[in-house]
Amino acid sequence: MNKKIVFILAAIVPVLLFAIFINNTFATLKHHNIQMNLANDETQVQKIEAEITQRLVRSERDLAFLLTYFNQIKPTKGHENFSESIQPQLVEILPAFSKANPLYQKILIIDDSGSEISFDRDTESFSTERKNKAEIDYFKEAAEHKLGNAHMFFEGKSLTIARPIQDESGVLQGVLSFSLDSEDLIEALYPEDFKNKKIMVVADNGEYLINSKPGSREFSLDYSPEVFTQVRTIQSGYLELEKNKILTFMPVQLDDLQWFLLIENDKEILNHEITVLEWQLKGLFAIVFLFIAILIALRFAAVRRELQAEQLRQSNDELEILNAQLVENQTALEEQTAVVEELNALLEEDVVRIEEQKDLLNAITDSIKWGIAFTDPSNETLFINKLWRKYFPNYSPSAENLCGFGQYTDAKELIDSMVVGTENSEDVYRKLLESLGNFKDSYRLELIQTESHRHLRVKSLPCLAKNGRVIGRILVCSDITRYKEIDRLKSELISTVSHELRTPMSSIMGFSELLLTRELSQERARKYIEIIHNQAHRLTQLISDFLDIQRIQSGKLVFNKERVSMDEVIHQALDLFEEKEGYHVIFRKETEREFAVEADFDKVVQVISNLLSNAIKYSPQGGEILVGLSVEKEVLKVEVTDHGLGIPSEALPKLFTKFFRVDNDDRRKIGGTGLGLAICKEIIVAHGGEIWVESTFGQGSSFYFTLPLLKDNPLVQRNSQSEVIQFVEKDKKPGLTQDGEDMILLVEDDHSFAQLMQEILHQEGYKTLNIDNGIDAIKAVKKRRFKMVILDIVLQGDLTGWDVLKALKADPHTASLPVIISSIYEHKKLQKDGIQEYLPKPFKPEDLLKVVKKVAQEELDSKMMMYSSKEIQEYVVTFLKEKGIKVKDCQLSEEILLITLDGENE
Amino acid sequence: MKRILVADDESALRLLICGTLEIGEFEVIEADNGTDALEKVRAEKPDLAILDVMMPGMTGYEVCQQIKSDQTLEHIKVLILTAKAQELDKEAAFDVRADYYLSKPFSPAHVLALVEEILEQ
Repeated sequence: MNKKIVFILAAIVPVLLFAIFINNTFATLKHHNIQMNLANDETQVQKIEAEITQRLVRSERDLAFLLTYFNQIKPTKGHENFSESIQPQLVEILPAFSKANPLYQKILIIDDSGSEISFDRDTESFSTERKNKAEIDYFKEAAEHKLGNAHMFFEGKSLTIARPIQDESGVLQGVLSFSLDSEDLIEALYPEDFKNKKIMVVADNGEYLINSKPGSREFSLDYSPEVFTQVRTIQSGYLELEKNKILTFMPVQLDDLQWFLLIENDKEILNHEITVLEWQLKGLFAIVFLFIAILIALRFAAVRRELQAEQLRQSNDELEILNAQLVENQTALEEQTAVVEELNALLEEDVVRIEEQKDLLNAITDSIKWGIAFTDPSNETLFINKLWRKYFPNYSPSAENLCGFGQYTDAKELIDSMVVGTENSEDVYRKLLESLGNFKDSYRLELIQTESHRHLRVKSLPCLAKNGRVIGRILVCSDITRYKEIDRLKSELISTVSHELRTPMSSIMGFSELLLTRELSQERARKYIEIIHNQAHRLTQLISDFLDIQRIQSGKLVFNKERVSMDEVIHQALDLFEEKEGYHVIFRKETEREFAVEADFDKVVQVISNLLSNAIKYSPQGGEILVGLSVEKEVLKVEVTDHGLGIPSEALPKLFTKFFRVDNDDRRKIGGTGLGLAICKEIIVAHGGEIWVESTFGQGSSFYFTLPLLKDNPLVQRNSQSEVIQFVEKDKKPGLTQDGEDMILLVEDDHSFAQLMQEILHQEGYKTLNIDNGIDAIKAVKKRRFKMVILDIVLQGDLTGWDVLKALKADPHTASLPVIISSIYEHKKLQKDGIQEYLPKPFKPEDLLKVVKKVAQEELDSKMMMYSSKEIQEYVVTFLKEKGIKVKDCQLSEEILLITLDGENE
Repeated sequence: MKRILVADDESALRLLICGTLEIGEFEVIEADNGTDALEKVRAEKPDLAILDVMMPGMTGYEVCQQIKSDQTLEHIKVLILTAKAQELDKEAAFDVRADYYLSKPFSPAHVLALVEEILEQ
C-alpha cells in the first residue's frame, strides 16, 4: 500500500514541479511581453507626439500661408463685415486649398460681428452662420494665444487651430480657424499594431482630448479623476488598473500646452498568444506525460506479467515435483488411512460396545434391588448405582445425582455417609473402617436407618480379578425391611397360632385328664365333657378358619363366581342366622330393584352370616340388628349394624387382621377365633370389594362391605315395593323353627291394596312379604316357608293366581301351605281344592284379620318339622308314635319328610 | 389354708384349674382379667398367684411385675401359666421375676404337684 502511495507521489511531484516551472516561465514571459509592449507604447507615443506636432506645425504653416493671403486682400467696401467682404476671395482660394490640404475638415473664418463662413472639406461647400458673442470671444482668445498659450483647441471632436486675421495696421479683422477631424487624426495616429489598445489624450486639467476605444473608435470617459491625478503626479510610466488593465502614460508638450497621452492595454489580450502557447504546451506536456505514464504502466504490467509467468513456471515446476511427492504420499496415506479407518471402525465398534455395555451395566445395576458401590484398592470410590444414592443420600453431595462410574470422593467418606442416622452404628462403623485396608475378608452388616425405619443389609466383599489381583471392594446393600417385617409377622403368627391352639387344647387335655384320673360326680363329668366338646369344636373351627384364610391368601381357594342376586344372598344369610332370644333383625332394602353381582354365593353368605353373628355376639344386651342394602354408583353396599358394645377407636385399624381380638373385658367373655373378620375381608377383597367398619365405643358398630355391580343391572326390571322382612322378637323354639314361618306372603298386584293389607297385618304382629307376580311368588314359596299365602287371582305377568295355586299344590313341599284367595270373583267350591279361606274383595280389615287368625289358629294346632336326614325322619316318626301322637299326614320324599301333627295331641 | 389366685380370661381354664386344685385343700380366688387379678392380689394377698399372660386389662407379665415390685407383695409366689410357649415368652416371664413358668396345655396333675410343692416351701 505504502509502496503504491510512494510510487504515485514519485510520479506526481515531478509533474507538479514541472507545472510550476512552466507557470513561472510563462509568467516571466508574460511580464516581459508586457514590458516590451509598454516600451513599444512609449515609442508609439513619441511617434504620435511627433506626428501631432508635425501636423500642427504644418497647420501653422498653412494657416500662416492663408493668413498671408488674407492679409493681402483688400476688403471689398460696401460690406458690413469682414467675412462677407472677403467672400469672393474665399470662394476663389479655399476649395483649392482644401483640395491641396485635405487634412482640415473645416476651414472657417469668423469676424468680429459674429458672422462665420465655413468651408466643408467633404461637401466642398460654404456655409454661413452667426456666432454669439461668447463664441466669438472664445475664438478671439484662442487666436490671440489667450487660451493657455496654445493656439489650438478642441471644438467638439475636432482639433481646432485658430489664428487672428489682422490688417496691415495690425487691427484684428477676424479669426481664421482650421478644424482637424479627430477621427482622421486618430486614424493617422493609430498604429497598425495598436489593435486592442485604447489611446487617450488628456489635457492638463484632466479633460479628455482624445479618448478612443480600439475597433469602435468611439470616445469615452473611463477613468476616475484619481487615476488622472496619479498620472499627473507620476508624469511618465504606467499604472496597473483593475481587471488586468494596464495604463501607459506619458506627457506630451505642444506649444505651451501640456497633454498626457494614455494607452490602455489589456494584459490578457497582450498575453493572449503567450497564454495560448502556455496552454498548448501544458496540454502537450500532459499528453506526453500521460503517454509516458501509460507506456511505463504497460511496461510495468508487461514486466510483472513476465515475472508472474516466470514465477508461475517456477511454481509449476515445483508444483509438479510436489505433486509427484504428493501422489506418492497420498498412496502411502491412503494405505495408512485404510488401516486407520479399519482400526477406527474397530475402535468405534469397541467404544459403542463399551458404551452399550456401560449403559447396560448401569441399567442392570439400577434395576436390581441392591444398592451397589465399588471402591478401588487405593480406597477411591469408583462406582455407585442409583439405589445406593437413594439409600445413602448424604454421600458426596457435591456429586449430587451422579450415578454410575464417576469421580467420587474416597471410601472413607462413603463409609461415613453410610452410618449417618442409623441405630447401633458404632460396631458397624468399626467394621466398615476395618474393611478399608482389608481385601481378604468379607463383611456382612446390618443398618437400621432411624428416620425411615429402613433396615439395610450391607455386604462388603473383596473383588478379585481372574489372576487373583485385588481390584477393589464391592459393597452391596439390600433393603431387608420387608423381610424383617415378614419374619416378624411370621413369628408373631406362629406365636399367635400356637397360643390360640394351646388355649382350647389346655381345656381338652386338662378336663380329659381329670375325667380319666379322678372320680367325679356324673353331673361334673358331664359338664367337663361338655366343655371338652365345646373346646374341641372351637379348635376345629379355629383350624378350619385358619386353613380357610391360608387358602384364600395363597390363592388356593377357588371362588365359584356366578351371577347372583344380592337379595337372595341376604335372604340366605338371614335363613342361616340362628335366632336368639332378645334380638331382632331388620332387613332394610333401600332400593326397589334387585341387583346382581358376580360372586360366590356361599362365600358372600358366609360373610354376611359372620357379620350377623358378630353383631349378635357383641350385643350381649340384645337389641335391633339392621341389615341394609343400598346402591352407590357402581357398587352394591351391604350394612350390618348393631347397637352393642362397639369397638374402641384404637382397635379399628387392626380389626380385620388375623387373630386380632379386641382386648376388652366385655368382649373377652365372648369367644371367637379372631379370624372371622380376616376371612370376611379376604373374601370381599377377592370379589373386588371393600370392607370397613364404623363404630362408637359403647354404642355399637356398623360393618359395611361393597361389591362391584354387574354392568347390566338391575337384574329384574320390576316395579316392586321395597321389601321389608322383620324377624319379630319371639320366643325361642329350639330345633324346630324354620325362618319365615311367621311370615305371610301377599301375592297382590295392586300395590296400594297390598300396602293396606300389610299395615293391617303388621299391627297384629305379622310379618309380610308382598310379591306382585306369579313367577316370583312360586320362587319365594319354594325358597322359604310361609305361614300362609294370601293370593290374588289377577296378577302381573303371565301367571294368574290359579296358576300359582296349581303350582303350589303340585309340589309336595308346598302342598300343605295354607292359601287364602283374595279376589273380586266368587268361587264357592274352592275348599276342596285345598283353599282354606276365601276373601272376597273388597273386604273390611276385621274380615282380613278374622280369616288370617282362623287359618293361623289351624296352623298353630299343628307343627311342622323338616329334617334333612332319613335316619332322623324315622327317628322322629318313631318317637312321635311312641308318644302316642298320631301322624296325620305324612308325605315322604327322598330327603324330606313333612309331618303334620294332629293339633289335638301334644 | 393356703390361698391361691387364679387369673385367666378363659372361664373353661379357670374352671379347669379350680377343678384341679380342689383335690388339695386350697382357697381359690378367681379373676378373669389382669386388673382384677392385681386388685385381688393386693386385697387378699394370696400365697400363690397363677397368672395367664394374654388377659384383658393387664397382661400376666404386667401383673407379675407389679407384684414383684411391691415390697408388701413381693413374697407372693407367681406361676405364669400361658399358652405363649416360646422360649422368648419364658424369658419374658423370668424378666418380670416370675417364680415359675408353665406352658399350656398342661397336665392338671402336674400343676397340682407343682402348686403343692410351691406352697410347701
